[in-house]
Amino acid sequence: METQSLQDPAPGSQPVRNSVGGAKTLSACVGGALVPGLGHALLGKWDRAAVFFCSIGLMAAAGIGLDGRLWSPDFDGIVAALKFAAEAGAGLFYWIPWLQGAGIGDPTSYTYDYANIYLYVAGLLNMLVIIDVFDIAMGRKP
Amino acid sequence: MKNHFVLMVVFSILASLVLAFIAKNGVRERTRYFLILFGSFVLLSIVAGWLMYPFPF
Repeated sequence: METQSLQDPAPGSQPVRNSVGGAKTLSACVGGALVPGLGHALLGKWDRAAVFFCSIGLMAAAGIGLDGRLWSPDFDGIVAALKFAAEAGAGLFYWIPWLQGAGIGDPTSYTYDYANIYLYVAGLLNMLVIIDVFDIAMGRKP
Repeated sequence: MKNHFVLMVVFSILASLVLAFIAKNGVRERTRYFLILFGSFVLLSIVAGWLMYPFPF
């Protein structure tokens, strides 16, 4: 019976790519957590970086502009903590308006619910983007 | 921009765009995935809205 070498990729498997190294992986992930798309830019994936920066930035800006609420990190209950965690995933797109006192939120506004969904999803999408940066840096994705 | 349908369409475009760039490689695959996601977002939102229409709350 013919045996397969350990160095040969299994049929149908993805070819293994080289990772970029620990320091660059860490800097890309931290950069991506701070500014959506920055991690991809550090890895030279400019098209993805531009799309992530514009899309997530637009969602966060629309959320604030439509009277959404930026939840403070006061952890006043588990639901408030989860809402804060979701929104803070957008990095500086959360922290800069929060530090400027924006995002007070107006529950009587016609667009309040939509605006909050925009803010939550902007942060959650950036968390997925950071995982994507990690996969690319580790050589798991092209 | 205070139309709920417009807000839903804009949300669908942005979320689908990000997910398509995360999940797929290549222009053709991304375009196809984006259109499927965007259509699903919009269509299922309208269906869910109609299903909830008779609810008293």
